[in-house]
Amino acid sequence: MLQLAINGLAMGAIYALIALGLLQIFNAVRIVNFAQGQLLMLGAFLGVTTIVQASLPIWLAYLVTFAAMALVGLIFMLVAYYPLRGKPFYLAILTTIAVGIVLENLVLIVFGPLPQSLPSPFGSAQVHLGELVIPQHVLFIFAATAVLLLAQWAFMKHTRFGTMVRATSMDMDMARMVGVSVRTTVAVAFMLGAMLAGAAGLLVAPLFLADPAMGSSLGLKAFIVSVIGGFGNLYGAVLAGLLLGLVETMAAGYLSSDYRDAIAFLLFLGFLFVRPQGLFGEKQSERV
Amino acid sequence: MSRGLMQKFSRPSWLAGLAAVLVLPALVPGQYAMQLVNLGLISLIVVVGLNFITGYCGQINFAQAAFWGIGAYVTALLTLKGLSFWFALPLAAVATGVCSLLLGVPTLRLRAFYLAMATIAFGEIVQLVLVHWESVTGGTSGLRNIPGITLFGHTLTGHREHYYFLLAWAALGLGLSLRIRASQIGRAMIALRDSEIAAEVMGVDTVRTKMLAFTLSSVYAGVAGSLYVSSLHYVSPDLFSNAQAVLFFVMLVIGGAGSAIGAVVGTAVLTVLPEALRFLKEWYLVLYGVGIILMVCFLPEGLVSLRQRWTGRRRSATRAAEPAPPVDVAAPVVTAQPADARFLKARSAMPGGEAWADAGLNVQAVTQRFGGLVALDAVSLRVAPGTVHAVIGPNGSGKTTFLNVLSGAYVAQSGSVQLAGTELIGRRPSAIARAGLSRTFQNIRVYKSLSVLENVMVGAACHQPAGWRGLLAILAGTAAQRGQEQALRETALQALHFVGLAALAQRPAGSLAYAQQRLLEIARALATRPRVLLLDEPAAGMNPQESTRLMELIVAIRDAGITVVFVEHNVRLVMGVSDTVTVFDFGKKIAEGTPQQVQADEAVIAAYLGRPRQRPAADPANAAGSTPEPDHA
Repeated sequence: MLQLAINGLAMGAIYALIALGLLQIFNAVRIVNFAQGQLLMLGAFLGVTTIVQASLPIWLAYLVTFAAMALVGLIFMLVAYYPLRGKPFYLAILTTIAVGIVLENLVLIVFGPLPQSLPSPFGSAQVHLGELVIPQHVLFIFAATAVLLLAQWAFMKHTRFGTMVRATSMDMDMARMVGVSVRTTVAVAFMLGAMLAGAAGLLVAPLFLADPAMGSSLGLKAFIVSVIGGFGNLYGAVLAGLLLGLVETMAAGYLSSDYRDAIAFLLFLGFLFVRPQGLFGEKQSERV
Repeated sequence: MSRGLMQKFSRPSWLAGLAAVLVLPALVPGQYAMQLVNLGLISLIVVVGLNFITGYCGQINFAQAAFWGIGAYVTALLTLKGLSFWFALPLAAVATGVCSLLLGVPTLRLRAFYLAMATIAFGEIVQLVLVHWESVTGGTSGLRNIPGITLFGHTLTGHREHYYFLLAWAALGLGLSLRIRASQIGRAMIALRDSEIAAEVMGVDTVRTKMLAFTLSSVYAGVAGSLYVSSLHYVSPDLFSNAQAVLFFVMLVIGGAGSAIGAVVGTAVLTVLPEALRFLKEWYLVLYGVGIILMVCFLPEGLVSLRQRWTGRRRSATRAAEPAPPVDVAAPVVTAQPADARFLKARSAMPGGEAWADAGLNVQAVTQRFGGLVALDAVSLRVAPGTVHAVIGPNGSGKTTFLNVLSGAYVAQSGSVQLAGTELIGRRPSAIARAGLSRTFQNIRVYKSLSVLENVMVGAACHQPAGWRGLLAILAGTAAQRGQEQALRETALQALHFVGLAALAQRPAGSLAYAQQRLLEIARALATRPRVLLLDEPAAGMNPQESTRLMELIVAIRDAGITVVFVEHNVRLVMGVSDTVTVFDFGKKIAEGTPQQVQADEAVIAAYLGRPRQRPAADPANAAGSTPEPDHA
């Protein structure tokens, strides 16, 4: 039971990390990135390339992956978002989907359809707590999620740049008028969002292997977690992520694993019905 | 169908198209290609359906594949039980319609991207159920030997027979969609896409209109699913994936969202392309993704916009040769002749009859906060019936916020606004519009993609909002519905005539000059037959000549018994037409009276010009903020 809960929380921490990346972009440009899951998948495969194929030391491999993800985020923003700002929002959402399709199929061509394994920096070391067996990698996931959440919070609230990101999200034209370089701000938001996805990919692949098709389901989980946490709210997303991981794992363990994903979606639709503002969001007024 | 449509169909190019469609089966080589064509027709029905919610309303819907699947499975299960296709099809349509209500009611009142996420989640759930509920759906292997379609005792066999059958359905779907586009509901959909708040204040219930569009979309998909299984006799879950839903979406956007021809073009291109590019193998999907990005970035209005660009260029080339039609901005803009104001006085046309006129506003202690900022601080005022009441004040004094509270765009935290005894606070803007309060906007919000006439017709329909029954009447094309449409058109033309824009009725609203768009907003608001009309800086951007005509208009509107409340910086206009002037500063009412009284009021002078130096400022924040207001007079 407790063992199951810890596995669930580990999965939940991953969901939270993907959601943090999604919200980093959303909070800057008010666009929901439908390729967040594919960015995560790319991060996992960059890990496979650097750690397994190039046999780099793990710290260097992580650095290379983050740098590559930042570059991908920048290109993503220049190609899929920036030309479409101010146009009907469904166009930008469609291009994020298209980027997801391109990434998934490129990885499929390069790496083939078979899932690849990615080692953890802690190998398969475990911690024994009474009867509980906790892989060190799971503890690493918890620690990394906490650090990245705090870093993101500090960045958004306590740096000049974070203020510029928030100003841009409220009124792009006004932000530009008071001297915010909107393009740079948006670019950094996309780069950070992609790096967070990359981090999530590096963390999740040692648990479940890196699979070219893993993105879409994990990307959907990020939406679900964001909605349950109250869209835009970072803490809400983390708590909702842990909650979803827990509920899913419990339900899969005790009920039916066929419908594991369906439980998440039903929870999501349930929230839309009963509490669309999520656990911690402001009340979503009808947009008029 | 409308006369315009009949004329379109009589053009040679259309006749050629019709002939091509009819002889197509003779030209298509082989069974496989014919089956592909049939699948294209079925996809077309799904995409034409998607056009309602995505093309017209601008919302993202990724549930089309799931609805298509629900329609397919419901039909398969019913016909396997022995029910005829002709009974299964309407039941499948009802099933998808009910699903769309379940999904749409909670999400359509939220911010737009929620529908996108909810429909994706719904698609995943449907896929999971189809795969795992094996005892009913047959799991991944699906259902086989599904009975076909019997038409007048003849059972359809072969792709060719099915082609004509499906063609008839696709034509019906297209025809009905054009009929809806030309109706009050179609205009409301596009109005809310162009500006949700401007649609609401004209009496459009935006949530219900989106719901109508979403249900129409899903029913189209359900019918397409029904046709799919009954013509292929086989169904399996893999086709009803989210990837397929994205493909339908891409078909519409690449073709041209909001255009029926766009739906046809996009569906055709993306049905043929995967087959034509089969040699690319696994690279096809990469190219597909890159293609979407390129198309969306460089041709955001779709392939149909190519044709418009081309003909537009050709037309402007021919136009250069002949003299341009006289669209003099200054001269015909306002011709407020007493005769034209008759339409305003036609009380019998109004919901409340004679009593509709002469309504005033009673505002009591209205407070509106934004976080820590108090934008309106316990404001009370009375607007006497049948008067012109100006609200003035320095920038940031709360004037526009005040209009937004009156019209329901903001919901005040406390206080009361009564219009002839009816409480307005807490009502949706569309309900307030029906109670008799209409408005214009400071930053112009005409529905850019509708014509000038259609803009005003949206306002004219304020008191007859179309719901489900209206939708059925439009689909059936009843005489009563056509009569109502004609009445809306006449009201709208009269309103346009009144403000002097009748000559421009057929122009796209977005192409009008700035001052003309302001007048269009006034005509649109008048067409709702308001008891109280709010104008937010109506003279902004007008030259002195135009603002003089605007003054005449405001007087004519008041003389017709409509109470006018307006916010304005133009002192000449304020002093020239107002019966009463209220002055705001920092969210508080600081003065009220006739124009002369207000002009002499010390508090007003202090608010505009700052307090004299010798007198210590009572409130340091107040003194610091009261910089002189540059007047446009």
